[in-house]
Amino acid sequence: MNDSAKLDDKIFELLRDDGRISNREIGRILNVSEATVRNRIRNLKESKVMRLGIVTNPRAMGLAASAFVRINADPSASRRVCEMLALMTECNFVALTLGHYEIITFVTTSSRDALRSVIDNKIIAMAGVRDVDVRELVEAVKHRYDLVRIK
Amino acid sequence: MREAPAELDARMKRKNLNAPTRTPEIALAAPAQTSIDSLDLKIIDALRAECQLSNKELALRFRVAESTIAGRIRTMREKGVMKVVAQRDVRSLGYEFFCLADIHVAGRSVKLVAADLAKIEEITSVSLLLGSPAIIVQVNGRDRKHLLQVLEEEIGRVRGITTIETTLALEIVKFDSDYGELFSQ
Repeated sequence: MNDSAKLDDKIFELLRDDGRISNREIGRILNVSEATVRNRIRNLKESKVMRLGIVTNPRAMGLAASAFVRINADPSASRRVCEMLALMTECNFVALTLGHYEIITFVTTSSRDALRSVIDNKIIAMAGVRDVDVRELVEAVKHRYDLVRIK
Repeated sequence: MREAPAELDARMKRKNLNAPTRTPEIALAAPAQTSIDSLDLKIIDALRAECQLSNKELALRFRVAESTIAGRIRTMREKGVMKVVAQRDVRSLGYEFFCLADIHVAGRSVKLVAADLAKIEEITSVSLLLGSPAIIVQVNGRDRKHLLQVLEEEIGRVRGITTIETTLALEIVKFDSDYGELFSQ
């Protein structure tokens, strides 16, 4: 690994612990100039390797129910169903999959009632959806929210 | 069917006695562990739009002292309500393959199996479910060979797993990165 990649990793680690740390502070810790830190961060962001953002705990935000929902859809309608799911704020994750089901989505809502309503009235009601398999989450043991997909 | 909160509470407490160290003590039907007020929410909304807004700017905007803002942000962070973080694209680490694996468990506590799975680096999330499969994990692989290796050698080695059923993602259409199970410090 070259020096600039090492520096990028160190900057990333500091920002992963606290995304509100100043460039000046990062520079002081890593013994480089504030301008260098600023440039490296800009570069990491522009190349879509890293992003800075706020992560909120769904439970603390009043989102108490979530489930993995797998969908059997008409093959010709799969992509359209995915696009409609992607527009729903309740769907945090949507993917086209290989296997028994064509689509998988992760749904988060305020309550079990709301979860049922989203699945029954929005997802099952979509044209092209044939069957759904719902797996309700009871606890997250691990979630690497620092590893994402940047568009 | 809903349990009385007191019973659920007692059950969660018992469950947590032998929980892995980073397990959040969050019960599904229990109220949120921390209550946040309207100022907290305003701060969260402002940071969602621009996560590096200074405390000074936030203080001016909401007409409170800068120290109040700093205190609120620190408290929310410590209690695992929210956090401003740097996030890295998994593909920049070479992970091109993504699959979900249903883990069926028998003969060993689900919690212990989940704790073992959580130690595997390529697994980015471990969720406990009601019923069977008891666990769903998200697995990342550099290529097909590596993914298979993780499934066979890393996950397959964990005691108590009876079946692993995988669903490979062909295309990820949406991936929200602004929520996370934050573990209170």
